[in-house]
Amino acid sequence: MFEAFIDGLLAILQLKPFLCMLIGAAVGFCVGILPGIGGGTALALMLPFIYKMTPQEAFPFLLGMHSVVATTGDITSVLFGIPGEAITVATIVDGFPMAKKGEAGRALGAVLMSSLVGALFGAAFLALAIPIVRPLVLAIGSPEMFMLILLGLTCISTLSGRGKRGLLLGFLSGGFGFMCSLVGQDQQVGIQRYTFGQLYLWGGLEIIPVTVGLFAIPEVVDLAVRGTSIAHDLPFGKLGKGVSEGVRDTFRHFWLTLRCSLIGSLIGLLPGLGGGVAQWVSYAHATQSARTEEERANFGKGDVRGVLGPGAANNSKEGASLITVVAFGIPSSIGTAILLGAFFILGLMPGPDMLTKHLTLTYSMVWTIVLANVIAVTVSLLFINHLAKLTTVRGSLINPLVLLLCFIGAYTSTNSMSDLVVLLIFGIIGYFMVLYRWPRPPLIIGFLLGNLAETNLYSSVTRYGVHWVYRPKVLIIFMITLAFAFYPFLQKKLFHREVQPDEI
Amino acid sequence: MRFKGRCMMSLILALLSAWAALTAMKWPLKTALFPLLISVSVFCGSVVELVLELLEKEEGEQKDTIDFQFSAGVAGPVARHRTVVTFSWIMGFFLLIWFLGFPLAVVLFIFFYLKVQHGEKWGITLAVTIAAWLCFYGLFIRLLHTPMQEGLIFRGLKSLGIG
Repeated sequence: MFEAFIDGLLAILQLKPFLCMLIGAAVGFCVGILPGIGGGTALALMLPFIYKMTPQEAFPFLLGMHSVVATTGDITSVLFGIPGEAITVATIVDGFPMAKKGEAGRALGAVLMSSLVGALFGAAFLALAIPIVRPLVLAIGSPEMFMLILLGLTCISTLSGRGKRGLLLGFLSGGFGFMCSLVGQDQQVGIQRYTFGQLYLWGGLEIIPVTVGLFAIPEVVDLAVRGTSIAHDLPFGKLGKGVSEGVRDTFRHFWLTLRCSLIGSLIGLLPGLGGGVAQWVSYAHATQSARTEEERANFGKGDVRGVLGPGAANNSKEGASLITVVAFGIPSSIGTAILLGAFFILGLMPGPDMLTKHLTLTYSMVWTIVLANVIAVTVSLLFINHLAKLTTVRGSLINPLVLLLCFIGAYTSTNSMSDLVVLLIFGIIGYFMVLYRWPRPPLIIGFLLGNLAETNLYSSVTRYGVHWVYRPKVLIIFMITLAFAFYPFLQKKLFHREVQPDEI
Repeated sequence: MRFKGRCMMSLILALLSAWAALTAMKWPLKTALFPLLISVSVFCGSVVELVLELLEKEEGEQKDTIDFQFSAGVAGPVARHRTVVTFSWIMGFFLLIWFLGFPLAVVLFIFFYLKVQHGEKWGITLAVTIAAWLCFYGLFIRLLHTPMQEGLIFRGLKSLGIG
């Protein structure tokens, strides 16, 4: 096995595969930065190019691109508050406030370095987990999957609000997200639900216009209201200085980065959950790592830990999500589904062969993720000062360009004017949610997971009746869900007990 | 008891979820199971939230979210005016795209936003407009061949046999 591991490295270091990886990484770099062109779309566009390639060239090309998209997608999230990718939305919550405080350099340094740590963790996870992961994946049935989705939503709901009603508001927001996911043709019977007779809505609401509207439009309005640059007219010197500080932050909170990487990898293993969920669950974990109410109050206002968690998780899940594709032929996201297509185009069959006959190729995938991310992060760090300078450009110049990116990003979802209508509607919803302090993250997570939750609930009820609720694994996940829901209250109580003066 | 903006949010959500539940009741169980479960839960939650909001005496306490918050440095009336103006520009951009199509709307929106809204100098206005249009055209039309819908006006003219 070790021999195959080294052979995998040597295979990727040959001239043609290495060049293919560089080209792929360069494409992924640009795709990640530009909102609207998703990683999945880019992979699909690049698929025809692999017909004349060997597997040793095609996978470095595709994976080189796929694995850096999340890394560079974080850059626009931090600088402009627009998600470069749907999987980099959580970075906005603390990354953009940091940019507004003049800490764009620090935020970028932190997110890039944590992305690198996450990517390396994910690659190591892929390398080590293949032989042992089979029982874990097979143990997750539809009842457990449904409970895992509820666990994910609970994590986000607890993080989103403070005080007694925070959990209720979080659940309401998540519930509204679930309701939005119901729009479209029913998967079981084919009945149109909440489509108002509109053909556009048959396929459901698109994630890009919803996300961009919800997150970018309120930021654009705020920037216009302030009438300053993103970094509030701060002198540039302060922005550039933060880069090394951001890199150091990753190592200062190294355990948090590793834990979030692990969360990303575990979520990456589960089909259907993907990076959209991994980033928010890890963000939830980052906020729960705050020990005091005051410390927790900094999240959402520019706490570097809120950048490190999602940065690490949305990269670490890439490696892990390959495990199910390589070992079982089960894609866990759009990107890995397209990669599965690449296997068939190249005449490869996922499964035991990939762990025996083609083990060198499997390990070359691991090395591709490592090398492509090291290169992408190094290049980004070299240009980071120039990127951070963008936050000092006055808002009047930035705003129309950001709006152009929002509109074109939303439009490219299905190339329909209806995408723009959805963008506007969710822009208005997002504005009022921010204005009245309703948390937006649970809405997105509910929206992302709605279809999956419904399918799994339906399968559970059909197969087990009401007895699915009594399954031991379901009960265990339910207990964990309860623990997550009440953790902030328990933590607060415990902390208050610690500081009671009469107890000292 | 006061009726605030937050109450309105809860009320709208309660009405929306009630409508969703009532609509779902007409469907077969397979289709309605999940929508009913969700909309009934959301309805109950939003009614509780609405009641709590209405009964609340003091504003502001423990209502922070871990999410982006609007900047507080600009006075209320000014902020409201600027918000309305910005939303008008956003709506204007949408209408431009709808009536004239993307390529023309991009030029007009960026040009007028810079010149009319912010009074930028001619040089900067033209440079930013041209650069943005070239990036848009080069990347999305030439390179990615994104199919751009024609504007309503041009489609109307074509149907009349003009242009």
